[in-house]
Amino acid sequence: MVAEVETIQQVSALAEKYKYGFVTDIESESAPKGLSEDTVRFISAKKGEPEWLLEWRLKAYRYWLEMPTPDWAKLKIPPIDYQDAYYYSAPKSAEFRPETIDDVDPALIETYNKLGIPLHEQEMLAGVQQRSVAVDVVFDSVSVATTFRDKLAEAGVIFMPISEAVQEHPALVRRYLGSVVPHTDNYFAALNSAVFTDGSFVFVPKGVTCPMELSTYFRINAENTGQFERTLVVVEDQGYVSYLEGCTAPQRDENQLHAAVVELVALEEAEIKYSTVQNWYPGDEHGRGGIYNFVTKRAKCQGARSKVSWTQVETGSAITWKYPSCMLIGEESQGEFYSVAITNNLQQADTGTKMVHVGKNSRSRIISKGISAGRSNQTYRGLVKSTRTAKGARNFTQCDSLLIGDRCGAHTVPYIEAGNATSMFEHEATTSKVSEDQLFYCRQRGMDEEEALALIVNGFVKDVLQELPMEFAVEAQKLVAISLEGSVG
Amino acid sequence: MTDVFGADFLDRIDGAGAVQNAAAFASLRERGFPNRRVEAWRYTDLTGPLGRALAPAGLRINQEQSGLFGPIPAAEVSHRSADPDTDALSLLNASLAGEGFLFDVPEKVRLKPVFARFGPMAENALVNANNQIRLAPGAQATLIERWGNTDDSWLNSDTNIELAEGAHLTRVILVEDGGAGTQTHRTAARLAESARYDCLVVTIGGGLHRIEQHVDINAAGAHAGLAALVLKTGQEHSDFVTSVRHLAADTTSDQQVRTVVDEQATAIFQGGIHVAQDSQRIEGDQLSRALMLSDRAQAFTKPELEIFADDVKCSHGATVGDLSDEALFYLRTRGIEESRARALLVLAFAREPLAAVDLPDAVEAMLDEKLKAWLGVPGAFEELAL
Repeated sequence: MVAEVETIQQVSALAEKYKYGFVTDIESESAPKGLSEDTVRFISAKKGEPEWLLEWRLKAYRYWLEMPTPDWAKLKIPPIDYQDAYYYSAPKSAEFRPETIDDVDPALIETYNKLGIPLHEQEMLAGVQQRSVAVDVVFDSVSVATTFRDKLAEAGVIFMPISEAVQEHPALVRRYLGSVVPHTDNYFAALNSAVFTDGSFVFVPKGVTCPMELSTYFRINAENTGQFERTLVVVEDQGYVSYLEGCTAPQRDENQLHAAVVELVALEEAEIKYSTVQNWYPGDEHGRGGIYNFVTKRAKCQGARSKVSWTQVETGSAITWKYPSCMLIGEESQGEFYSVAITNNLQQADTGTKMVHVGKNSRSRIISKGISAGRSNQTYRGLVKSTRTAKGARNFTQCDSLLIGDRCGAHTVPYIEAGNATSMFEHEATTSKVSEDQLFYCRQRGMDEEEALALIVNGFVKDVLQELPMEFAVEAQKLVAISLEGSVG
Repeated sequence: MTDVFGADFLDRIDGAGAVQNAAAFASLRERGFPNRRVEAWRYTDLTGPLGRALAPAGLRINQEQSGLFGPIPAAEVSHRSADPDTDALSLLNASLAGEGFLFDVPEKVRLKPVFARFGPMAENALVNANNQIRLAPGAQATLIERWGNTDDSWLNSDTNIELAEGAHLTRVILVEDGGAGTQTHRTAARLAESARYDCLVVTIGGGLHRIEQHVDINAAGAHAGLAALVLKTGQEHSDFVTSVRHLAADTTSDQQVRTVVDEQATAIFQGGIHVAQDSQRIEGDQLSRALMLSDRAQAFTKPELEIFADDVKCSHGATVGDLSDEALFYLRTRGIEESRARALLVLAFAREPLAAVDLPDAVEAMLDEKLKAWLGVPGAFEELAL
C-alpha cells in the first residue's frame, strides 16, 4: 500500500514537473520538409512579402550556407539535420487572420487558457488584475492573436505581428530590421534571417510611455518544426516600454530547434525593459527530447541617456545558447542584464551578455545567478568592453553559481577588455554549494528538503527576480522550485 | 603548407640546420603556430617575432653556487614529446633545445636560495631552453631565475616541475628586456601530496612577453600560490596565463595578479581554475587588478572558472581602472603633491604580489628597487618609511 501511494505521488510529481507538455490537436499547414531556397521563397510568398524582404532573406540564406557551425561554447550539440525539419507550420484556421478575439479558433483559445495566457480582453479588464497586459500570441510559425491593439493605437503605440508590420509599416521595418543584428552576425542569426516566420513588432513614438505591459507568448506545437521568430522593438526619444516574453512547448522525445533574433533600438532618453521567462520543454531526466534554444538578442542604445534592461529567467530548453547584449553608443547610455539560469538533469546552458561601451560615461550592470543541478552543465560567458571613445565607462558584474549535487558543472568565462584608462570595470564571481547550515536551519523549522532548497535558491536569485514585472515574478518563483524538483535526495 | 601560420619562420630554422628533434619539428610543421583565432591566443599575435630573421643560438646560464643546479644532461633532452597536441611553443622548444638546466633537490634537503641568470649568447638569437626542476619528498628550495634579453632576440623556455610529497618550492621568475625582444616562458608543474608551489612572476619591458603557468594539483593537501606583477609601458605587450587544475580533493590555490600599464602598452591576464568531478573540498581564489595610467593603454582580463564538483569555494575578482580619486584626495589633504601621491599609490598597488609570496629579504629588496626604477620614483620615498 505504502509503495503504491509513493508511486502515485511520484507520478504526480513528474506530471507537475513540466505542465506545459501537452499537444494541441489542431489542423495545420506546413511548408514541405527541409531547407532550400524554395523554402525561403515559400515562406516569403505565404506572407505576401515585398521583393526587398525576399532578397534580404535569400542573401542571408546564401551567407548561412557558407558559414561553419559555431563550436566555441561549452556545449555538446549533437549534429543538427537541417533538412529533417519543417520551417513553416501554421494552424489552418489562422489562414484568414481573425478580426477580433471572438473569431479565434476555440482550440487555440483553449490551449492558451491551459497555459494561463488570457486572450479575452474583457475578462482581463473586468478581472482583479491591476494592470492589463497586451499579448501577441505566436503559435508555431504564425501570430494567431494580438490583444489590446486598439487601445495601444490610441496612445500611438504600434504592437502587431512583424509579418503584418511588413505590410502596414514597411518603411519602419525596412529601416530597423537587421540594423542591430545583421544577417552576417552569427550562424543562427543568419538562419533566422532566412526563414523567420513571425514575431512581434513594437514601435513607441517620441515622448510616449506605453500604457500597458506588452507581451509575446511563443508556443511550439507541431512536431518536427523549428520556430524562428523575429522581434523588433523601436522606442523613439523619451519613450518607454516594458516587454515580456514567455515560451513553452509540448513534451516530445525528439529535439526541436528554436532560433530567434530580438533587436531593440533605443533612441535619445528612451527606455526599454525586456523580460523573458524561458520555459521550453527541457527534455526528460535521461536527456531525451527538449528544445535547442539558440537565440541572438541585442539592443542598440543609440541615443544619449537611453537605457535597456534585460531580465531573463532561463529554466527550460535542453540546450541554451543565448547572450542578450547592449551596444552602449549614446553618451551616458545604460545597459543592464539580470539573469537567473537553472539547469537540471542533462540540460546544458551557455548564457551571458555583452556590454560594449562606445559612448562617454556609459554604464552597465550585470547580475547573473546560475544554478546547476543533476548532471547538467552551465556556463556564464560575458564580455565587458570599452573602446577608446568610451571615456568614463563603468561596469559592475557579479556572477554567482550554485551547485546542487556532485555530477553537475558550473563555469564562468568572462572577458574584460578595457580600451581606455578612465574605464572602471569590476567583476566578481563565486561558485559554491548550498550551505549545510542553511539547509539544516530550514529543516529544523519543519521544512522538507526540497522546500528548504527552493527557499534557499529563491533567496539566492532574489536580486534578479525583483527586476521582473509583478505578473511574472510570482510565476518565476514557482518555476524555480519546479525546475529543481528531483535534484535532492 | 603555406596556410600554416609561421611556415616561413620554420623554413628558415630548417635551413639553418638547427633541428635536433625531427619528430617534434614535423609535428610543429604540421600544425603551425597558433594565430589569434585560437582562443588561448586571442590577445597575442606572434606575427612580430615570427617575421624576424632569428638564428637559433645557445643559452647563457650564470649561476653562482649549488652542485644541485646544472646543465641538463643530453638524456633528459632526447625523450621530449613530439605529440602534435602539445603546445606549439613547447614543440618549438623540443625541436631545438639542447640546453637548459636541471635543478634536482634530494629528499629532505633544505636549500639556501639559489640565484640563476639566463640570457642569449648572441644578438638576434632564437634561444630555446628546456628545464627540469625536481624536488624529492620533503625537500625545500627557493630558486630565483632572471631571464634577461637583448634587442630582438626570442627566449623561449619550457620548464617541467615535479614536486614530490611534502616538497616546497618557492620560485621567482624575473623577466626583463632591454629592448623590444620576445620572451615566452611556459611552466608545467605537478604537485604530489602536501606539496607546495609558490611562484612569483615579475615581467618588465620587452616587445612581447607571454608567461604561462600550468599547475596540476594531483594529491590532497597540496597548494599552488601564483602571483604576478606586470609592469608595461611604451608599446610593450604582456600576456600572463594561468591554469590551475584541482585534480584531487582537499587542495587549495590562490592567484594574485597586479598589472600596471602606461603609455600604449597592452597587458593581458588569462586565468583559469579548473576543478575535476571528484575533487571535493576545494578552495580556489583569484584576484586580478589592472591599473591603467594612460588613456592609450589597454588591459584585458579573462578569469575563467571551470567547476565539476559541488563542495567547492571558488571565487575570482577582477578590476580594471585608474587610481581611486578618494585615495588621491586623502594623500593630497596630508600635504603630498599630486605626482608624488600618484606614485605612492602605484607603488603600494604594485607591491601587493610581492607580499603574496614569502621571499628572502635580499630578493624582496632587489625587486623593490626594480619597481621603483620602473616607476621613476626618487629615493626621497624612504623618509615616508614605506
